[in-house]
Amino acid sequence: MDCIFNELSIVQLPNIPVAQDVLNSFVKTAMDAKRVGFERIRITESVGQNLYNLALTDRYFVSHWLEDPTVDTELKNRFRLIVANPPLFNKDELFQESEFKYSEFKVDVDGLMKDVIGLGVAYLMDTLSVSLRTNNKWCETAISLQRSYFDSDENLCEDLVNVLHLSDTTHLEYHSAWLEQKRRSSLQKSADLWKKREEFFPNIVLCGDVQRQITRIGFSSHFDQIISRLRTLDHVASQWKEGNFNLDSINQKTNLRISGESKSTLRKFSGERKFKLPDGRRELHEFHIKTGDLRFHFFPDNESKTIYVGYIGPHLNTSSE
Amino acid sequence: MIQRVVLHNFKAFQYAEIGLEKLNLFTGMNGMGKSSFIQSLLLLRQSVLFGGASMLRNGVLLKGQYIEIGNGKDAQNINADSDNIGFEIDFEDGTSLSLEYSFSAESDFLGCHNVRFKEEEILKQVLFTHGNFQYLSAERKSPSNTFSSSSSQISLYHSLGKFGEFTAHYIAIYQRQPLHLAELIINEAPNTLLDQIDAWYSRITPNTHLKATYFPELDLAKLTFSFGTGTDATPEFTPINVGFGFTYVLPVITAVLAAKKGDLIIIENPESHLHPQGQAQLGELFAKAAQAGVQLIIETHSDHLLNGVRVAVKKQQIIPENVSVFYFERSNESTEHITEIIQPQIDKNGRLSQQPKGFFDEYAKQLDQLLQ
Repeated sequence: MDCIFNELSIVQLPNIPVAQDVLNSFVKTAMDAKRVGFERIRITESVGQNLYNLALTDRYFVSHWLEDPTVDTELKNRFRLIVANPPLFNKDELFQESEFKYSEFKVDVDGLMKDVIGLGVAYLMDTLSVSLRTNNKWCETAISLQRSYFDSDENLCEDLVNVLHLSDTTHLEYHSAWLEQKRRSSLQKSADLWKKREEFFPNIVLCGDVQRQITRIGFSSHFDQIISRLRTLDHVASQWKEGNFNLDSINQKTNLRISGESKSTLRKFSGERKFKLPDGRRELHEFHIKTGDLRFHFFPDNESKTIYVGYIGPHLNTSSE
Repeated sequence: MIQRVVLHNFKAFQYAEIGLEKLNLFTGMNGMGKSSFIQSLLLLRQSVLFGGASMLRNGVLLKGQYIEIGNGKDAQNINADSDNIGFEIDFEDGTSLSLEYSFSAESDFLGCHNVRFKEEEILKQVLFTHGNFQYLSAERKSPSNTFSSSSSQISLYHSLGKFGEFTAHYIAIYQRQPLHLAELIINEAPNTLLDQIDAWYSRITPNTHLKATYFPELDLAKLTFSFGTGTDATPEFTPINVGFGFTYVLPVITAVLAAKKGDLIIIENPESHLHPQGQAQLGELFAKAAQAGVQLIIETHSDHLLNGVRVAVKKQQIIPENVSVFYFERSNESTEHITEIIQPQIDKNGRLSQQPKGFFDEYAKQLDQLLQ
């Protein structure tokens, strides 16, 4: 699971020792978060592509800190690993993760309402946001955000939401109950999904690999949506008596929004989408349904009029060509 | 170019399918099946070189000039779902090859079960031709005072030998030839094979100069290294008296610098005995060659090499779509020995879409212990 960095927490600090303390605390917090399952911290493009030039004080930049002989080398290298590996993100992520067509977030910082991306993405992904401790605001375990969005009837709505927040190791202790509850509920849901698959979805077949895949999902907040979409697909399967599987007609009649894959994705990554059916055949499960950070892939067998679900998990690789 | 490879019941895989790009990095812990893919290509190649394309209609040789897998029982996956071992290869030009061979436990020859291909089409593929193919195994020729020579290997086949044993002879003969691929040329040096080898070496150790000489009367070749320029230059040292890594990496650098567009190069552990800076330089060299049209299949344990490729992507020396990274991992949750292949993608910023546990995370793990 990813933590999302709050780009507003980068501000100029009064002096170098304070800047060093802030980065020291950030690295330690990131390491502790990793230990409890937050593998990566993702940062915005605006920060990530300009990292060396970010000013920590008026004349002490991140690049100076990385070259500073008074700072522990291991600490600096750990910082490099935290920030240099994961993919960057930008405003588009707010649209990809949102159930609505448009979502924007603002946060009150010292009396000013400021646009923010990272905190909004963390809220939409139901995960922790993480900040540098550069303002009392960023020392809290939750931060209030003002959200604007268009609802399903195209009305512009506004509301206040809270995003869970982290800037200190002690915050992790505070969040541990939430984390544990999320982990347990996901595990329980994945166990139930497999155990009761025939009862829940009598008209579709969950293939063998799914049992293992769903135990690996960890704590996704989109499990309920997966179950709801599988139910809809189950209903579709119960109605399929004749003719070939008709994607367009199902997409018109349901909210499943089933997609296929591009030619280049299939050329490069078809191996990831081939799963074994219970009878031993291995088939390409090209059709998929998206919900937040999860996908499921299925294969409609036109001969037997059966829908096989071969994959439930994070989105598979796609080609951008 | 090879575009897709499917293995069925072969070695580590009951079934596996991968799509290849220009630059392909095979990574993962030992014994996870990285080599199975490379071996499948080599055993098909050695069978065709031995008996022509029609050989594949009779069967495949498990022991041959490139690899010695053993007998059928060594080639078959332990969870095989049938008595057949299958290979499928799709090439970029639309040619494809579908081969199924019958399992025979005690034989080093697997007889034909069902094959589908057109001989004249597959014989055009560099996987099956001479002159456009290099394979360098993990075990390469170590430093020595003299090196083997083979006029047929270097002149007819443009081969450095699977141990790189003919590299010194190759350089001695072709040292004045210009590189085929302009993308690999380091501009500060003249465009000859020898000068460019020196230039790439000098990125690893400054001012390195190589000399390769062929002695026809003795039918062997010699290498020497010297360092520095002008009056500060050192005497010539034999390979035994300079770092082991100099000789060990020479076939790798030579294979890539001598390549032409459309060639296929397969290298196992190119980073062996090379210090981290040199490993990162190899990443850049491979990236540039791949962008210039060479297909490379590289098995590696080097995060420095991977990072060299990532930086090359960020510097736009190669487009991210031309790179595939495969991480071979064995699932702990399954009672069966099943290897999974995960493909972390490199984006235009050189960042990784995912970092599965065990995928070059050891440095971070050790740092964490130091910092805790």
